[in-house]
Amino acid sequence: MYKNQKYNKIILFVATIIIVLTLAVLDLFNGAVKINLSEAINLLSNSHLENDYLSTIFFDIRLPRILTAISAGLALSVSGLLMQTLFRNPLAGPYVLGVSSGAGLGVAFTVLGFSAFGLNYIELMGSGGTILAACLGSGFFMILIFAISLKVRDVMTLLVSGMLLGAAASAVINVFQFTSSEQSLKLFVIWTMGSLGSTTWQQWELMTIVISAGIIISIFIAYPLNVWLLGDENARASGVNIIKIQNLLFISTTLLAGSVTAFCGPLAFIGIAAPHIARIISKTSDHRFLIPFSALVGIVMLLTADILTQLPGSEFLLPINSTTSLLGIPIVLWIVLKGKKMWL
Amino acid sequence: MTNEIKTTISVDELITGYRVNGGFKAIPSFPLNITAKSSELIALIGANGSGKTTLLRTIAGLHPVKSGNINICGLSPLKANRLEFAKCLSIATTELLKIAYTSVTEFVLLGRYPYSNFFGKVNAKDLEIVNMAIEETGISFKKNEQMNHLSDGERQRAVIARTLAQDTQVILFDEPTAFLDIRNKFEILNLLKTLTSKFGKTIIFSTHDLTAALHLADKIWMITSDCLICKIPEQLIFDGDLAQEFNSDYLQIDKSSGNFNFIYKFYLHIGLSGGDGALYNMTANALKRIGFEVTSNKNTTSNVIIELKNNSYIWKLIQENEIFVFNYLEDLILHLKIIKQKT
Repeated sequence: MYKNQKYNKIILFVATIIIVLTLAVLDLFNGAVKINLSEAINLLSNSHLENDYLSTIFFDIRLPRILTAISAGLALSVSGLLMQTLFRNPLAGPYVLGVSSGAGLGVAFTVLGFSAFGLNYIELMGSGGTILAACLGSGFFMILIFAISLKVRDVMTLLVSGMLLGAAASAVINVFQFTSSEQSLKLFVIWTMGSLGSTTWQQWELMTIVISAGIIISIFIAYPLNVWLLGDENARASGVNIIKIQNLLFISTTLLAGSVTAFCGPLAFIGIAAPHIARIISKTSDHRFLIPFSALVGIVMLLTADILTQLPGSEFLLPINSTTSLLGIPIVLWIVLKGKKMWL
Repeated sequence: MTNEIKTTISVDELITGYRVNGGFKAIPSFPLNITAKSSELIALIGANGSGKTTLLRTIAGLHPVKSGNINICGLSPLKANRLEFAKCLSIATTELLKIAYTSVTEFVLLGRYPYSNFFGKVNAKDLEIVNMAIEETGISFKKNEQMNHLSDGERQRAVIARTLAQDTQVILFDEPTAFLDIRNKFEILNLLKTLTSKFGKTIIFSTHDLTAALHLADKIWMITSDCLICKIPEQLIFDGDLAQEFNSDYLQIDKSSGNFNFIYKFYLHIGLSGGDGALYNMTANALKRIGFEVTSNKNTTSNVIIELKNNSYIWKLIQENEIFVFNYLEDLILHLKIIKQKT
């Protein structure tokens, strides 16, 4: 019986990978400029032609966008899963608890803050600076919300506190906006809308390196996290070093949520919804399975959201934040309606 | 298995407690000296707030020690390596959440944490021990069920199975029988008793259920306001320790039988005769419950006579010159309650 469950999980895993690949290919062909199959094969088989506009669209716009969606979906869902375990709260996630806002504050601090002193942020800091600022911001907010969670054990109060933190972050950002130059203000406003398509190859590489570090840490704490679900005291009595696991979890979540937010802006609700879908489908709370599986579900969600931004036959391009919200909010609502019956 | 009785827990001049407003409040207020042996089922009793949970948590190394020593199978709870300590003591606290999406087998496997490698790879020995634990606790018919689909009694069995899978000499349970119905309560405690005798374990459980503790435990640790009494149940009753701690205006503990007697306030006298033993006793109990002192002579102003008529019992109430006849005990009690209220 135990073996049987194992096979079911492998089948589930493989099936989800196939869905991810299918969606990635669909997304690759989806866009204002139509690329048909023979052209695509041509593009892939020939080496990169410099002046071919199709090649530019394919290699420098769509491919980085899809790879960004994959990295971001993976990072957001794993950070959501880790936060749900840390807070014992099914509604925890980087967006609702204000950790994404913290990253936003970090970005605002660099983008807008530097211009207030008459410095050009882009020249001075570059991608590395953005990611560092975002991670510092999200880490700071992560510690803040955790400190609050030690005082309030109630699920809903914690969510309200997260919203307050988010509001505080936007208030500070508003102050920055007042004092900043027009050019950097524009840069920042575009950033807040969230986007998968504005990452360059170089940025994607940097983001993926940081995300990989976060994922590796999360895999290392996966098994102790299973024991931790039994509660702090039972975990300690089982020999789990809670403080160490908690610190590693902080670092992992911060790297994951911070790096995504740095380049894609705040992407809403993927972090809450994906781990839940993963749990419901697989019927397990084993992190050794849930971490990779939620990651896959997160990728599926973000690729779907990306395809929906550019509905075939439509000329409009919707912001990615609206489509992730439209996908994620029904699931979050369902969790709220199921209420206290549903625990982790 | 283990014929040799050895000391597994020794607590020496232990003071523990909480920081309150900058000061320190010792709970319990006196130093503790106590030992426990293998193959012992120990019930920890005491009033609310007497420090039962604190003592269990301190022995398990989950609560800091102000002064004194604790020795669990040669290890100190606070100084020992946590993983090594987890191999000699396990505890099930009341914080065990309603975990969803975890099957009983997966849950019990978590007990193998101190023995497994970093990724928790399950080996043949782990599976063997987990299956044994599930078998011993009688939960094998639900072993693929999700934890949140279990009843309270079944979940408690799974919790015991997890501590058993941890394979420790000492097991602590904080109120394992709270929320359980009386049948499950005795089944769970009998299970704990079986585990102590079969595997030579030392099991300590805290409880508010004195009857169950006195009937099943090998020893009672009773925390009173000024000392911790450690005796076998019968000695505890005979020496009057229990009576001293728990007797009140409403409850008396009988030193000769160990029974709990409820004290009723009597306002009126009533005579009772007839009926067989059980029916007489139940009628007498019902009368006492509503405040009548029952006597067997007929000198009082009102008398109840139980008679057999047409193969069923009737209750005759003779009051001064009136006679009332009732077919059911309930009707008699209702009638007397109304009379009592009038007087």
